[in-house]
Amino acid sequence: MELTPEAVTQATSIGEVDRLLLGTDPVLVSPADSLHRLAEMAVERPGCRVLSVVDDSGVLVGLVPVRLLVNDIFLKIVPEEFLGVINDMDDVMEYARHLRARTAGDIMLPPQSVRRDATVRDAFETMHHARLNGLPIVDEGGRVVSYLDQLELLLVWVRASGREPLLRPTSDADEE
Amino acid sequence: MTANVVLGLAVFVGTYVLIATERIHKTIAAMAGGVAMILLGIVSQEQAFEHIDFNVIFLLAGMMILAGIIRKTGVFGWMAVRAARLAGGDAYRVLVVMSVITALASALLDNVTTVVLVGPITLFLAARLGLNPMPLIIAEILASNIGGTATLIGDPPNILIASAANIDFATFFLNMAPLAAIVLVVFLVAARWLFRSQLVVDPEMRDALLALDERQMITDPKLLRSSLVVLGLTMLGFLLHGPLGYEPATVALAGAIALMIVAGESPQEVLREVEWPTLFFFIGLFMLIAGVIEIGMIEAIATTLTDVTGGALAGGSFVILWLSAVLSGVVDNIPYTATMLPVVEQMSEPHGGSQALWWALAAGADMGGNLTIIGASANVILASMSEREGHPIGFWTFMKYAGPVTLGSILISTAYIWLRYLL
Repeated sequence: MELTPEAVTQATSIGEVDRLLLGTDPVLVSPADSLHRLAEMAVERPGCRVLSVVDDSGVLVGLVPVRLLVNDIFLKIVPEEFLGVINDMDDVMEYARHLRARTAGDIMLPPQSVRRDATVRDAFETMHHARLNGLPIVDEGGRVVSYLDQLELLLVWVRASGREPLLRPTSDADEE
Repeated sequence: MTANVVLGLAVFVGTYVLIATERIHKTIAAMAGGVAMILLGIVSQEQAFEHIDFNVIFLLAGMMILAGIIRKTGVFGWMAVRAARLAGGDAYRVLVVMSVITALASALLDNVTTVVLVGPITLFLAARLGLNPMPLIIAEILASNIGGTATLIGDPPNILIASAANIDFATFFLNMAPLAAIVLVVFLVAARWLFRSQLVVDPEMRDALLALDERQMITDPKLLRSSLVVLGLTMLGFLLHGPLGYEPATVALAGAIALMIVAGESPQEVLREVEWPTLFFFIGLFMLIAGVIEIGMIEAIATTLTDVTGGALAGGSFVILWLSAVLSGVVDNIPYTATMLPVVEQMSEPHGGSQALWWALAAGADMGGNLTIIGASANVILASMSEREGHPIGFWTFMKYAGPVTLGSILISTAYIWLRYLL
């Protein structure tokens, strides 16, 4: 029985995706790293859109999406943009928390990750629920070994559905 | 004592303990107490529901709707940034400006809205000026409770009092706003000395403040214009509701509905901004108090207070003022006021038209909220915001500043009530 591109996409293992596709290295930071340091590391490796916060033994303890980092830094650069849209108590408390933030540990989100033996479906589910553009891939001990971007999930589908020519820079492929 | 009296007292005390200890949410505690009064047969459902003052409920609901829409326009953020720039980065002037804005906002809007409006800007200003935000936050807490004293809609106890005593907005304003203004001015003068060691600004950071663009704070200029017109008309309505023969709730509801029409927002969106738990807290309390009245407890308290003061108006007023100030500092001033309404009503009876006891209750319950960090909801939310930002305000730290201010404001209130109503 031939599988549909959707079924192939769902069932593909992360190990396969990680080996075959963009191969972006994870950006590892420690909870004590300053936001300034995080910004430097983020721009050095623009392909990685979610930074992994790890402890001394490399175990994942939190995530800092680049979006969150940019928000936090711009909170200090153009505060008007944020002050103007604070409408309820939750916003106020969130604003207070971010105003104090100085390090990765201050702003990081709870850790989310996938293992190599998980499927693309699992990875999508985790990214979708946690609203992340990427996820660290961890080993059995919870240590970060690689990084999986949302775009890579899309790439699996592109390949499975035979739309690969779209990806070749020289090909002048049609929209469909 | 009959079984009903014992049961009713147990329900009342139990509910108060639950509210004070926050073991369960105060709304649930109040509703449970109210329903228990009916279930135990102390009052009938009909009697309990008759005690729910819908003038209070709908006035609160109307103002919550108005405030919910207005705070989306960014007008107060604009005002605060503009004022802070005018203060030119001088810490004491920033404190004065922010306190005055807080006092004005809390005289016109509910506490949550006031905090949402001034809280973030305070933290931001403190960060920009390299200041510890603690003195600013404490000053704003104090100013919010002082400002709330000024109007009928400034603090929930005032709504309860005005509704029970049939006092209109203009009368309330003319009697309480001068007192609030005097206390605020005295406090702001004292604040310079009170916070003297902490109001030091990093000169390098001062310039950054002046670079802010307050126009960015206005999120919706069109909504802003229509909201200000509706809010202005609502205030005018409040000032005239007495002569026109409307209740304040009618004015608030009319304003809320007018703004909903003008703003064109969906009712789902707008009604989500209403603090339903607060409204049900009031409903529960009214039912609970119905039971307490039924068992004769209110009459007993009133008789005791009358005996203690020998029935004199001056003595009664001062006892109510100071008792209210102390108790409001430690228990929620809403259930306290709700309980005291029938007491004060009974105590006022022999003194004909004098409203001295009502003003004493309002001043004590509103300004007593300043005594402790848990004295009023604005205190609690501003303090938790400060803590979230990394500057926790401890119970005793707050008391160190707020204690003298509360004592001073109740002394001023004593003199004011004596000079204006008792001489």
